[in-house]
Amino acid sequence: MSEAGELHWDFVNLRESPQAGLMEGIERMWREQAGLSPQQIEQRAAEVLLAAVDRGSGEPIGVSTVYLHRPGNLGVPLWTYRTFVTAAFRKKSVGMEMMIQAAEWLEDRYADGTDRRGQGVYMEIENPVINRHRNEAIWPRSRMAFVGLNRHGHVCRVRYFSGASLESGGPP
Amino acid sequence: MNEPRKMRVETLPQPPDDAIRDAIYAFWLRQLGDMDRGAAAQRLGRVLAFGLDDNDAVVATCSAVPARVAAMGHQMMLVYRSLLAGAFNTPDNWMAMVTRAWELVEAQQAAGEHAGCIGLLVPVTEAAVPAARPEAVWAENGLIHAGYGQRGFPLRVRHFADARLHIEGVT
Repeated sequence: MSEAGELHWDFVNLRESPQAGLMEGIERMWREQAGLSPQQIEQRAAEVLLAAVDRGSGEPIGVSTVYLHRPGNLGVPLWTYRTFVTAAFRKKSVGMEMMIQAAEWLEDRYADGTDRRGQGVYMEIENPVINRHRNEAIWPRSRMAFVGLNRHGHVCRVRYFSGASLESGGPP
Repeated sequence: MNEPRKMRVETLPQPPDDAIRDAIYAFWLRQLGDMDRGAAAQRLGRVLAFGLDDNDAVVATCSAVPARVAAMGHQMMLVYRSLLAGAFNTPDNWMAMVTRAWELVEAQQAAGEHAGCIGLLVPVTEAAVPAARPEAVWAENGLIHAGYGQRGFPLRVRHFADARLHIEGVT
Protein backbone atom coordinates (compact mmCIF):
# COMPACT_ATOMS: atom_id res chain seq x y z
CA MET A 1 0.00 0.00 0.00
CA SER A 2 1.36 3.39 -0.97
CA GLU A 3 1.30 6.32 1.41
CA ALA A 4 0.18 9.66 0.02
CA GLY A 5 2.20 11.83 2.39
CA GLU A 6 0.14 14.20 4.53
CA LEU A 7 -2.95 13.72 2.43
CA HIS A 8 -5.80 11.52 3.50
CA TRP A 9 -5.80 8.64 1.10
CA ASP A 10 -3.70 5.68 0.14
CA PHE A 11 -3.12 4.10 -3.22
CA VAL A 12 -3.62 0.38 -3.66
CA ASN A 13 -2.18 -1.47 -6.66
CA LEU A 14 -4.86 -3.99 -7.52
CA ARG A 15 -2.70 -5.72 -10.13
CA GLU A 16 -0.21 -6.63 -7.42
CA SER A 17 -2.68 -7.05 -4.55
CA PRO A 18 -6.18 -7.98 -5.77
CA GLN A 19 -8.85 -7.20 -3.17
CA ALA A 20 -12.38 -8.41 -3.88
CA GLY A 21 -13.95 -6.12 -1.28
CA LEU A 22 -12.28 -3.05 -2.71
CA MET A 23 -13.32 -4.03 -6.23
CA GLU A 24 -16.92 -4.19 -5.06
CA GLY A 25 -16.58 -0.64 -3.74
CA ILE A 26 -15.04 0.52 -7.02
CA GLU A 27 -17.86 -1.02 -9.02
CA ARG A 28 -20.39 0.65 -6.72
CA MET A 29 -18.58 3.99 -7.17
CA TRP A 30 -18.60 3.61 -10.94
CA ARG A 31 -22.30 2.72 -10.92
CA GLU A 32 -23.50 5.41 -8.49
CA GLN A 33 -21.13 8.28 -9.15
CA ALA A 34 -19.78 7.81 -12.68
CA GLY A 35 -23.00 6.48 -14.22
CA LEU A 36 -21.30 3.56 -15.95
CA SER A 37 -23.45 0.77 -17.39
CA PRO A 38 -23.03 -2.84 -16.22
CA GLN A 39 -21.21 -3.61 -19.48
CA GLN A 40 -18.81 -0.71 -18.98
CA ILE A 41 -18.19 -1.76 -15.39
CA GLU A 42 -17.44 -5.32 -16.42
CA GLN A 43 -14.97 -4.14 -19.05
CA ARG A 44 -13.21 -1.60 -16.85
CA ALA A 45 -12.97 -3.98 -13.91
CA ALA A 46 -10.54 -6.03 -16.00
CA GLU A 47 -8.45 -2.89 -16.62
CA VAL A 48 -8.12 -1.61 -13.06
CA LEU A 49 -4.62 -0.70 -11.94
CA LEU A 50 -4.70 1.63 -8.92
CA ALA A 51 -7.38 2.55 -6.44
CA ALA A 52 -7.31 5.59 -4.16
CA VAL A 53 -8.82 4.74 -0.79
CA ASP A 54 -10.07 7.25 1.78
CA ARG A 55 -7.97 6.63 4.88
CA GLY A 56 -10.88 7.43 7.18
CA SER A 57 -13.72 5.44 5.68
CA GLY A 58 -11.75 2.82 3.78
CA GLU A 59 -13.94 3.48 0.76
CA PRO A 60 -12.53 4.01 -2.75
CA ILE A 61 -12.47 7.67 -3.81
CA GLY A 62 -10.71 7.16 -7.12
CA VAL A 63 -9.62 4.50 -9.57
CA SER A 64 -7.37 4.27 -12.60
CA THR A 65 -7.53 1.80 -15.47
CA VAL A 66 -5.17 1.01 -18.33
CA TYR A 67 -5.57 -0.98 -21.52
CA LEU A 68 -3.27 -1.61 -24.45
CA HIS A 69 -4.26 0.30 -27.57
CA ARG A 70 -2.88 2.04 -30.65
CA PRO A 71 -4.44 5.43 -30.09
CA GLY A 72 -5.57 7.83 -32.77
CA ASN A 73 -2.87 9.12 -35.00
CA LEU A 74 0.13 7.80 -33.08
CA GLY A 75 0.07 4.28 -34.52
CA VAL A 76 2.14 2.75 -31.71
CA PRO A 77 0.91 0.47 -28.89
CA LEU A 78 0.49 2.46 -25.69
CA TRP A 79 -1.18 2.00 -22.33
CA THR A 80 -4.29 4.13 -22.56
CA TYR A 81 -4.92 5.55 -19.12
CA ARG A 82 -8.29 6.52 -17.65
CA THR A 83 -9.21 7.73 -14.23
CA PHE A 84 -12.24 8.56 -12.16
CA VAL A 85 -12.15 10.52 -8.92
CA THR A 86 -15.21 11.24 -6.79
CA ALA A 87 -16.45 14.81 -6.78
CA ALA A 88 -15.35 15.56 -3.23
CA PHE A 89 -11.71 14.78 -4.05
CA ARG A 90 -11.41 16.31 -7.52
CA LYS A 91 -9.86 19.56 -6.34
CA LYS A 92 -7.17 17.66 -4.50
CA SER A 93 -4.15 16.13 -6.17
CA VAL A 94 -5.39 12.55 -6.04
CA GLY A 95 -5.91 12.28 -9.81
CA MET A 96 -2.45 13.58 -10.71
CA GLU A 97 -0.70 11.54 -8.01
CA MET A 98 -2.47 8.39 -9.13
CA MET A 99 -1.53 9.00 -12.76
CA ILE A 100 2.14 9.48 -11.87
CA GLN A 101 2.22 6.30 -9.78
CA ALA A 102 0.49 4.31 -12.53
CA ALA A 103 2.91 5.58 -15.19
CA GLU A 104 5.91 4.78 -13.00
CA TRP A 105 4.63 1.27 -12.26
CA LEU A 106 4.11 0.59 -15.97
CA GLU A 107 7.51 2.08 -16.84
CA ASP A 108 9.26 -0.06 -14.21
CA ARG A 109 7.72 -3.17 -15.77
CA TYR A 110 8.85 -2.00 -19.22
CA ALA A 111 12.36 -1.33 -17.95
CA ASP A 112 12.80 -4.71 -16.26
CA GLY A 113 11.28 -6.58 -19.20
CA THR A 114 8.18 -7.83 -17.38
CA ASP A 115 5.88 -6.28 -19.96
CA ARG A 116 7.24 -4.44 -22.98
CA ARG A 117 4.04 -4.41 -25.05
CA GLY A 118 3.14 -0.78 -24.39
CA GLN A 119 5.72 1.83 -25.36
CA GLY A 120 4.35 4.49 -23.06
CA VAL A 121 1.26 5.94 -21.42
CA TYR A 122 -1.42 7.81 -23.34
CA MET A 123 -4.43 9.73 -22.12
CA GLU A 124 -7.25 11.84 -23.49
CA ILE A 125 -8.41 14.55 -21.10
CA GLU A 126 -12.13 15.22 -21.37
CA ASN A 127 -12.43 17.40 -18.28
CA PRO A 128 -12.45 21.06 -19.42
CA VAL A 129 -11.41 22.25 -15.96
CA ILE A 130 -8.19 20.23 -16.17
CA ASN A 131 -7.57 21.36 -19.73
CA ARG A 132 -8.08 24.97 -18.68
CA HIS A 133 -5.95 24.95 -15.56
CA ARG A 134 -3.33 22.39 -16.51
CA ASN A 135 -2.57 23.72 -19.98
CA GLU A 136 1.20 23.25 -19.89
CA ALA A 137 2.38 21.69 -23.17
CA ILE A 138 4.34 19.25 -20.99
CA TRP A 139 2.99 18.47 -17.54
CA PRO A 140 6.11 18.96 -15.44
CA ARG A 141 5.76 16.17 -12.87
CA SER A 142 4.25 13.43 -14.98
CA ARG A 143 6.07 14.43 -18.20
CA MET A 144 2.88 13.90 -20.21
CA ALA A 145 3.37 15.85 -23.46
CA PHE A 146 0.66 17.32 -25.66
CA VAL A 147 0.36 15.52 -29.01
CA GLY A 148 -2.87 16.96 -30.41
CA LEU A 149 -6.63 16.67 -30.05
CA ASN A 150 -8.86 13.66 -30.65
CA ARG A 151 -11.95 13.82 -32.86
CA HIS A 152 -13.99 15.06 -29.90
CA GLY A 153 -11.58 17.93 -29.28
CA HIS A 154 -10.15 16.39 -26.11
CA VAL A 155 -6.49 17.03 -25.34
CA CYS A 156 -4.24 14.02 -26.00
CA ARG A 157 -1.01 13.51 -24.07
CA VAL A 158 1.71 10.87 -24.16
CA ARG A 159 4.73 9.87 -22.11
CA TYR A 160 7.03 7.36 -23.77
CA PHE A 161 9.01 4.99 -21.62
CA SER A 162 12.79 5.22 -21.63
CA GLY A 163 13.95 3.06 -24.54
CA ALA A 164 10.52 3.02 -26.24
CA SER A 165 10.52 2.13 -29.92
CA LEU A 166 8.21 2.72 -32.87
CA GLU A 167 9.28 -0.52 -34.54
CA SER A 168 5.98 -2.19 -33.67
CA GLY A 169 4.00 0.79 -34.96
CA GLY A 170 3.13 2.48 -38.23
CA PRO A 171 0.75 4.96 -39.81
CA PRO A 172 -2.91 4.47 -38.82
CA MET B 1 24.01 6.48 -56.59
CA ASN B 2 26.35 8.81 -54.71
CA GLU B 3 28.28 7.51 -51.70
CA PRO B 4 26.87 8.98 -48.46
CA ARG B 5 29.09 11.84 -47.31
CA LYS B 6 29.58 13.55 -44.01
CA MET B 7 29.16 17.25 -43.47
CA ARG B 8 29.58 19.65 -40.59
CA VAL B 9 26.76 21.85 -39.36
CA GLU B 10 27.24 25.56 -38.81
CA THR B 11 24.88 28.10 -37.25
CA LEU B 12 23.96 30.90 -39.63
CA PRO B 13 25.39 34.14 -38.23
CA GLN B 14 22.96 37.04 -37.92
CA PRO B 15 23.21 38.96 -40.08
CA PRO B 16 24.89 36.57 -42.51
CA ASP B 17 27.93 37.93 -44.31
CA ASP B 18 27.93 38.27 -48.10
CA ALA B 19 30.05 35.19 -48.70
CA ILE B 20 27.75 32.88 -46.75
CA ARG B 21 24.65 34.47 -48.22
CA ASP B 22 25.93 33.99 -51.77
CA ALA B 23 27.03 30.42 -51.05
CA ILE B 24 23.56 29.56 -49.75
CA TYR B 25 21.87 31.21 -52.74
CA ALA B 26 24.14 29.23 -55.06
CA PHE B 27 23.26 26.00 -53.21
CA TRP B 28 19.55 26.68 -53.53
CA LEU B 29 19.96 27.45 -57.24
CA ARG B 30 21.76 24.13 -57.76
CA GLN B 31 19.13 22.20 -55.81
CA LEU B 32 15.94 23.97 -56.76
CA GLY B 33 16.69 25.50 -60.15
CA ASP B 34 15.69 29.08 -60.86
CA MET B 35 14.90 31.06 -57.72
CA ASP B 36 13.61 34.61 -57.39
CA ARG B 37 16.10 36.80 -55.52
CA GLY B 38 13.35 38.26 -53.31
CA ALA B 39 12.05 34.83 -52.36
CA ALA B 40 15.59 33.71 -51.64
CA ALA B 41 16.19 36.71 -49.38
CA GLN B 42 12.96 36.01 -47.50
CA ARG B 43 13.88 32.35 -47.13
CA LEU B 44 17.37 33.22 -45.95
CA GLY B 45 15.84 35.16 -43.07
CA ARG B 46 14.37 31.92 -41.74
CA VAL B 47 17.52 29.80 -42.08
CA LEU B 48 18.87 28.52 -38.79
CA ALA B 49 21.87 26.45 -39.86
CA PHE B 50 23.68 25.12 -42.89
CA GLY B 51 25.92 22.19 -43.75
CA LEU B 52 29.40 22.40 -45.23
CA ASP B 53 31.38 19.70 -47.00
CA ASP B 54 35.14 19.15 -46.77
CA ASN B 55 35.70 21.95 -49.29
CA ASP B 56 33.51 24.40 -47.32
CA ALA B 57 30.79 24.31 -49.96
CA VAL B 58 27.21 24.65 -48.70
CA VAL B 59 25.47 21.30 -49.04
CA ALA B 60 22.46 21.72 -46.73
CA THR B 61 20.23 24.31 -45.08
CA CYS B 62 17.45 24.18 -42.51
CA SER B 63 14.84 26.65 -41.35
CA ALA B 64 11.80 26.95 -39.12
CA VAL B 65 8.66 28.95 -39.82
CA PRO B 66 5.82 29.71 -37.39
CA ALA B 67 2.51 28.18 -38.43
CA ARG B 68 -0.70 26.80 -36.99
CA VAL B 69 -0.47 23.01 -37.16
CA ALA B 70 -3.74 21.16 -37.71
CA ALA B 71 -2.31 17.86 -36.47
CA MET B 72 -1.35 19.55 -33.20
CA GLY B 73 -4.71 21.02 -32.34
CA HIS B 74 -4.01 24.14 -34.43
CA GLN B 75 -1.36 25.26 -31.97
CA MET B 76 1.26 27.71 -33.20
CA MET B 77 4.53 25.88 -33.70
CA LEU B 78 7.81 26.43 -35.47
CA VAL B 79 7.65 24.08 -38.45
CA TYR B 80 11.02 22.72 -39.51
CA ARG B 81 12.21 22.03 -43.03
CA SER B 82 15.54 21.20 -44.52
CA LEU B 83 17.25 20.75 -47.85
CA LEU B 84 20.25 18.43 -48.16
CA ALA B 85 22.19 17.73 -51.35
CA GLY B 86 21.89 14.11 -52.55
CA ALA B 87 25.04 12.48 -51.17
CA PHE B 88 24.66 14.38 -47.90
CA ASN B 89 21.02 13.40 -47.40
CA THR B 90 21.69 10.73 -44.80
CA PRO B 91 19.93 10.06 -41.47
CA ASP B 92 23.03 11.16 -39.53
CA ASN B 93 23.37 14.45 -41.39
CA TRP B 94 19.63 15.06 -41.30
CA MET B 95 19.54 14.44 -37.54
CA ALA B 96 22.52 16.72 -36.93
CA MET B 97 20.65 19.55 -38.66
CA VAL B 98 17.48 18.91 -36.64
CA THR B 99 19.42 18.88 -33.39
CA ARG B 100 21.16 22.16 -34.17
CA ALA B 101 17.80 23.69 -35.15
CA TRP B 102 16.28 22.66 -31.82
CA GLU B 103 19.21 24.06 -29.85
CA LEU B 104 18.89 27.37 -31.70
CA VAL B 105 15.13 27.82 -31.42
CA GLU B 106 15.18 26.80 -27.76
CA ALA B 107 17.82 29.46 -27.04
CA GLN B 108 15.92 32.02 -29.10
CA GLN B 109 12.68 31.25 -27.29
CA ALA B 110 14.40 31.60 -23.93
CA ALA B 111 15.62 35.02 -25.10
CA GLY B 112 12.07 36.13 -25.87
CA GLU B 113 11.62 35.17 -29.53
CA HIS B 114 8.87 32.99 -31.01
CA ALA B 115 6.11 34.34 -28.76
CA GLY B 116 2.98 32.22 -29.04
CA CYS B 117 4.79 29.16 -30.42
CA ILE B 118 4.66 26.12 -28.15
CA GLY B 119 7.62 24.31 -29.67
CA LEU B 120 9.25 22.82 -32.75
CA LEU B 121 7.47 20.45 -35.13
CA VAL B 122 9.59 18.35 -37.46
CA PRO B 123 7.95 16.50 -40.35
CA VAL B 124 10.26 13.55 -41.02
CA THR B 125 10.51 13.93 -44.78
CA GLU B 126 13.76 12.00 -45.17
CA ALA B 127 12.60 8.48 -46.06
CA ALA B 128 15.49 6.62 -44.42
CA VAL B 129 15.12 8.25 -41.00
CA PRO B 130 12.12 6.34 -39.53
CA ALA B 131 13.82 2.97 -39.98
CA ALA B 132 17.24 4.27 -38.95
CA ARG B 133 15.96 6.06 -35.86
CA PRO B 134 12.85 4.27 -34.52
CA GLU B 135 13.24 5.49 -30.93
CA ALA B 136 10.07 7.14 -29.65
CA VAL B 137 12.24 9.85 -28.08
CA TRP B 138 15.40 10.94 -29.89
CA ALA B 139 18.10 11.22 -27.27
CA GLU B 140 20.17 13.96 -28.88
CA ASN B 141 17.35 16.48 -29.18
CA GLY B 142 14.39 15.20 -27.14
CA LEU B 143 11.98 15.19 -30.07
CA ILE B 144 9.12 12.74 -29.53
CA HIS B 145 6.91 10.88 -31.96
CA ALA B 146 3.61 12.75 -32.37
CA GLY B 147 1.87 10.77 -35.09
CA TYR B 148 1.60 11.38 -38.81
CA GLY B 149 0.87 14.49 -40.84
CA GLN B 150 -1.66 14.92 -43.62
CA ARG B 151 0.94 13.94 -46.23
CA GLY B 152 1.82 10.78 -44.32
CA PHE B 153 5.16 11.90 -42.93
CA PRO B 154 5.90 11.01 -39.31
CA LEU B 155 5.82 14.05 -37.05
CA ARG B 156 8.22 14.79 -34.22
CA VAL B 157 7.70 17.54 -31.66
CA ARG B 158 9.39 19.09 -28.72
CA HIS B 159 7.66 21.73 -26.67
CA PHE B 160 9.36 24.65 -25.00
CA ALA B 161 9.69 24.12 -21.26
CA ASP B 162 7.26 26.88 -20.28
CA ALA B 163 4.85 26.54 -23.21
CA ARG B 164 1.13 26.65 -22.59
CA LEU B 165 -1.63 25.45 -24.88
CA HIS B 166 -4.15 27.85 -26.38
CA ILE B 167 -7.15 25.79 -27.31
CA GLU B 168 -10.28 27.60 -28.41
CA GLY B 169 -13.17 27.06 -26.04
CA VAL B 170 -10.89 25.56 -23.41
CA THR B 171 -8.27 28.11 -22.47
